[in-house]
Amino acid sequence: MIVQIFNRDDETGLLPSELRRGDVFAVHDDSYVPGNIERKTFFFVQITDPPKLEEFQEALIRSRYGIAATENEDPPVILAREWKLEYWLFLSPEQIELIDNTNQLDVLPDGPIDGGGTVTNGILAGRFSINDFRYK
Amino acid sequence: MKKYSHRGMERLGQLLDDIAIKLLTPPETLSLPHTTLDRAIQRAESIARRLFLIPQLPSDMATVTTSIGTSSRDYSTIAGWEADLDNGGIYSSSDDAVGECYNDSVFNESPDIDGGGAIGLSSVTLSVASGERHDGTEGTGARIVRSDITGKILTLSATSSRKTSVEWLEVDANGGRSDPMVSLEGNSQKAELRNCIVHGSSNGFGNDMQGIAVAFSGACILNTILYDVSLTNTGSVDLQAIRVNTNIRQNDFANITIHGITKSGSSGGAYGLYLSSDDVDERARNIISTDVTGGAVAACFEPASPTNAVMSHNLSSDSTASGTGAVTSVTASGQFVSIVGGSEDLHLKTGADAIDAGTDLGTTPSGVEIDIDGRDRDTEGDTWDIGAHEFVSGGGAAATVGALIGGGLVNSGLVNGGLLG
Repeated sequence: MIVQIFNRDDETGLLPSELRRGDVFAVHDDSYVPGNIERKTFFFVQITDPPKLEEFQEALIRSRYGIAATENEDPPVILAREWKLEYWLFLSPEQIELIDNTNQLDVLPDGPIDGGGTVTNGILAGRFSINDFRYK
Repeated sequence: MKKYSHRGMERLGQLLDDIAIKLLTPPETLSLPHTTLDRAIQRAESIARRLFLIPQLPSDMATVTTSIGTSSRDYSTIAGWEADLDNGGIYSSSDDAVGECYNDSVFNESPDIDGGGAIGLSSVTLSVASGERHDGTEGTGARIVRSDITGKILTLSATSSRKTSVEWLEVDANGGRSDPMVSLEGNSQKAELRNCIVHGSSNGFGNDMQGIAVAFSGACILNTILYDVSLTNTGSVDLQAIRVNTNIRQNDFANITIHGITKSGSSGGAYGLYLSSDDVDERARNIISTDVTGGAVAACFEPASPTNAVMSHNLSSDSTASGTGAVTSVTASGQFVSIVGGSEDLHLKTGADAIDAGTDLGTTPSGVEIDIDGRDRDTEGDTWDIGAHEFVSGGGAAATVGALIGGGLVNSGLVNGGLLG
């Protein structure tokens, strides 16, 4: 599957429902092709499908909820995502700079990258596995 | 405006202090990677904009249009486009952001369009590219189809400083239990739904159900078709096609077609346009509401005679259309091309009571003159019909809106300028 990672940290951070850097934004099947701007403004990784694929996919985009104030209200989101990939712990400063840069010009180039993995159409494969995602 | 806690404000202060210290440090002594500093500056700027500490200059304004679809577009999903609305690498303060959907494939998502506040966008519009729009009937243009959720399919969240609009999109619950299919939210004003088709929700839950919910004041729904909404629970719960929440006011509803709203059983109620009892400055004009049935009470308009709302030139299949120019007790089959379930075509047909029975709203609110097929009633000098569609005699089947034939713009199967019809 292909995992779309949020790579910015420009939300205020004052509200729990806002995505943070490293949060899983979305999951897609292996045939997915990101958009032309999207591939520069998100970080895409391809990982080998784990057993119980659907359960993993649901978990990766699951939010954590609090308790509703009244019976008629929806419970508030207290954490936008329960899982994240701290890719900055695995990659070089130069690679991180390319991933995090939001000027749409600097991205990981297609082809093999230092430290392992190959980028194809903006998607890094062969570097991460499901075990690299961390529960918050 | 979001509310920040005292603790949050303290954290904000600490953050800005840290950034100020870094900025005052001589460059040669900085040990931060560029991206870290860039992020810190961007973060401080976005927070400052939220707190209105950075003025917005008119000269900075630009319209940034990006494409959304699965065939080599800028974004593959509406959610991806929406998430980037606060991306300083793409937008600047006071920009107008426009996302144009393409009919490459069906969008299977439930976007919540509330971004753009951190950057300070002036407006956010989710639209459909010309040539990719529906022709006034389902399944003909870019659309969101979701039958697998029970909540909202599409949510618009505007603020008093940022208009948020969705136009030309079809929202199809496809027999699923979405409730409501569309929700207009935000702290105040400026949420607009225009030229959309919303349909296909069937819910059996024991709660009130809506097709479109208006949760805050100042929303606008124009030239939109809403049909085939049913609540199969037979208990004492209500179904409202369009519901304005309690204490919500100043909404503008114009040129809307509502049809086929069905509540099962003999308890509860079925309603077409359901206004709040606090209806100050509410307007409902040129609205068709037909075949609202079931429950203990069924009404195309509720209340039939609101206290303060301006009701004019509305049409109902029951007796509840009221005010100037009201048309009541018509048959739905006499108005529309087809009301057959699954192949509805709610364009007006020859002889419909709604034809030429509307009121001319000119060009206010903005876009009110553009009918469900893209016909400009104002520039064409039409006598306005009631509902989302402007009937033109001699018109055939609707053609692709915006397509060009011999230099004319095709609308409703006609070529404006008199080449046909």
